[in-house]
Amino acid sequence: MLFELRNIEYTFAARYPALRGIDLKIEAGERLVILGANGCGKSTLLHILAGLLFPTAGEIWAFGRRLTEEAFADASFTAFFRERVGFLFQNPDVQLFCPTVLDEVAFGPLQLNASQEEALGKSREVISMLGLEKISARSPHQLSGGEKKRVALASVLSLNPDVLLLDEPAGGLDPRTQVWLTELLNELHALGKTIVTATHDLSIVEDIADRAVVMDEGHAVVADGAPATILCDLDLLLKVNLVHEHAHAHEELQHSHGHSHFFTHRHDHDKK
Amino acid sequence: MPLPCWFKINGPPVYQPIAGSAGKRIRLLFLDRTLKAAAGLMNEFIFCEGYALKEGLLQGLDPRFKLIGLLSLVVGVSLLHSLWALCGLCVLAVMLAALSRIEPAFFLKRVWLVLPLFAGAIALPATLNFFTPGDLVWKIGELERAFRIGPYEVPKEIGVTKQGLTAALFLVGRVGASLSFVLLLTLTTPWAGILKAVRSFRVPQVYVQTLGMALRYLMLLARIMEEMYTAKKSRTVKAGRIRAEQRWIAGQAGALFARSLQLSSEVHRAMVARGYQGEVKILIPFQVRTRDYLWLGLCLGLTATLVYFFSFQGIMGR
Repeated sequence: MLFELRNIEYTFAARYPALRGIDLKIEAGERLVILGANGCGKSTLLHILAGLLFPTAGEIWAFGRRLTEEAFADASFTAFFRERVGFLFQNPDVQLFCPTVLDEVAFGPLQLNASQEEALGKSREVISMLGLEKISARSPHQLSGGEKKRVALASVLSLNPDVLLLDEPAGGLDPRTQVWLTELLNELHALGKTIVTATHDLSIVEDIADRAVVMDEGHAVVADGAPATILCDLDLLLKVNLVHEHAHAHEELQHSHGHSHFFTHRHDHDKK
Repeated sequence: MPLPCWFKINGPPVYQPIAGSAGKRIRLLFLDRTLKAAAGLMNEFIFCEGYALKEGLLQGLDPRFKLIGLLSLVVGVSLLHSLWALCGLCVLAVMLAALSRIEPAFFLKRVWLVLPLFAGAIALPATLNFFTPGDLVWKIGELERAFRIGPYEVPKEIGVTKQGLTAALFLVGRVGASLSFVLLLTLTTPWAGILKAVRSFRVPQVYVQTLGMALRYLMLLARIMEEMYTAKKSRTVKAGRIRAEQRWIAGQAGALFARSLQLSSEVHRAMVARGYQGEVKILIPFQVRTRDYLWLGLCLGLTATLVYFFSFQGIMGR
């Protein structure tokens, strides 16, 4: 077992609950997607899996050790964990704090004690793999949204983590870059990487995951299963606010019922 | 979703001037100025970084050697006691700029338009004979009698002295020459290179990293500010009262501050996620070549020669 979460609770400022009673097990090599509406606690859950936040109640275990602030006070465990778990933040501006793209990509390996030559070599390989050569000397603030996202991903991949935690990786990407990202994630999964993605974008779920965990607006896990099963459960998706009822037209017929646009209009109706 | 009934009222399809307000000019000076300043900051930064990416004499040097070479010249400037030598160094700076593919007109404008004039304004009182007594070259006016104000003796005849003029010219010349060399460094080296060069001289990492990140997020906050002002402008049809505008600016400053605090905590988490454990290690891919040693030798040699001949204690300065 790679990660095991036992009855996790997390509360912001001792007042606002973000997670409630989360029990979750993640195996090595899994492709898992955490689905939920805005504000349901997906990002907080990812932060807890990344050892960046610690639960206010409950336990989280990873790599056979309980994740606590004390565990991360041990430099050797911290290095072990950070080398194995990569985290892509939702906002790339948060993640890109170095003066140039090359520095950004080399940051992780250098912190984990790679030599200058090794860090430079790895960074150049990842930059070339993601087609970022032309912008490697540029400052992150000069990049477009899609470029920033790719650089942020490169900065995580240069560590060659076994586990990738991705917070809304397709957010703000154009359709072409979205396809590119999906293909990249599948190639990484084929190499044995564990990929955990938090998203509310239902259109990419089946392409990037073999298992879907659904969170509701009460900050709890309400479903866990195969993506195809979850995506067909319209009542569940309506309940957790991932799809909604709205009016739309079928030729001359105008009516409303719950549906999403990722596999739109797979429903029967009579033309009355 | 039921829409309010007043949503049904649509505006006229063609512009119809309103009596009384047609033709009146809207003055959104503070909004426009702030927007221009925010955009200007980013444009200026991007424009200047363009010079650092050109292929010229100084751009081809190792930033560490360039930094020591140019700083040695700045030290030399502060020790020189000859206006001719200062002029020579200013000419040298323009030549270096041209060899580094910086347009001389742009370079001269940058150096001589604002700062030396500002320095000149500071030095102006020193030209007068009650601050710097000496040979009067230009008589401004005459008092009834001489008197004292504290340590200063105000003479009967007020004017500019040769000694005062020389002191002012020295100040302006030194500021101009020093600024020229510093500008050469900043225009021909990307910020990342300067910071790494500074770091390689064992300046504590915390200062270098803080400076680098401050610069990085200054750009981000300038963009956020620009967006906030643009959003306000898009919904502003007339200039507000000064008090209301002040309240809005104060509110935005507070919002920006809160946002920067939130950003700093998120950035810290992003650093921790990639292995940061209190001390940042950075990439220093510098490559030293023969030309770097040649450059350093020339700069140090020139500084030593100038100081030997033209400093206050030097042969020509005595």
